[in-house]
Amino acid sequence: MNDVDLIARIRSGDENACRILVENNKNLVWHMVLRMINQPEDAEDICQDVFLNVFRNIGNFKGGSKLSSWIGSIAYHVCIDYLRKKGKEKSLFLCAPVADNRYDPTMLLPSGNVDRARLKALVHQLIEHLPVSYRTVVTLYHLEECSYREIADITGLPEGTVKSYLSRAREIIREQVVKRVPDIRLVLFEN
Amino acid sequence: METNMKTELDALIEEALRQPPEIPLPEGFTDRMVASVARHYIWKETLKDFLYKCLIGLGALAVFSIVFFFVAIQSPDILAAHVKEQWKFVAVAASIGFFVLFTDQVVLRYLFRCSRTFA
Repeated sequence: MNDVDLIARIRSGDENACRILVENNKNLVWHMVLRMINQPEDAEDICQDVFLNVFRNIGNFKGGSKLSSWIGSIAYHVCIDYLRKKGKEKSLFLCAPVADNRYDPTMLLPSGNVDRARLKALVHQLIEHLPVSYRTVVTLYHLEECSYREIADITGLPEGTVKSYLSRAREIIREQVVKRVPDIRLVLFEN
Repeated sequence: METNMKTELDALIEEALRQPPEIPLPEGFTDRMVASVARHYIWKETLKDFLYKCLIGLGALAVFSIVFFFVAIQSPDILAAHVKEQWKFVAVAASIGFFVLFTDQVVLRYLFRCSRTFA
């Protein structure tokens, strides 16, 4: 079923079509909300708001972009509103400070996989401390495999800005990993 | 060596970025989302129906009052005095009427439709 058929069925009150729309987009919305607000306990309520907004405004979808991009843009704006209400506007543009808990050498275990797993966990922790726009772009690009164009549609940022946010986010993560893990070579090559 | 490390680190970061957040989608997420949307729509629709009925009722009452005013009473003072005298009774009757109608037409209907939808 394509987007146009799905929307027509939703507008005629077909509950099954609503279910299909939620099913097709639940990962996108969940990942975006989780990464943007960083508050797992509020994530489901925000997702509900997102889907309510989607169904309330489904008639306004003109088909200029993919339906998933349109839903993503609603999720983006709902999250921004949430952060504004919570007085976290600063997190839109600034990196939150990460506690300087350097990589613990006792974490080095005989299996190389475990160490790499811990490094990945560190990367995840660092993502949480990136500015909201950076982690949104990172999530959409790497996790949802959106194109630059789609990310631009969702966030309203120019494509060039999307690219620069993406590379800057990777740079910050790389810098922080090297800073926090002095024996990074050991982890990468010797395990 | 430096370039190798950078490449290896970038690959690891890339791999980590492709991993979903640690908190997975809660079980029954889709059902809850659809249910919340459905509940919202049932509430909205029930309320809309009630408002239409209220408007029709008020319209009928207005027409009846106008006709009654011109045909039966003729003098506005008599009607005004009557309303002034009985305003407490009118207010209580209107409040009770509204409460009963609202409960019957909105609250009970909403609960009934929800229970039928999510049975």
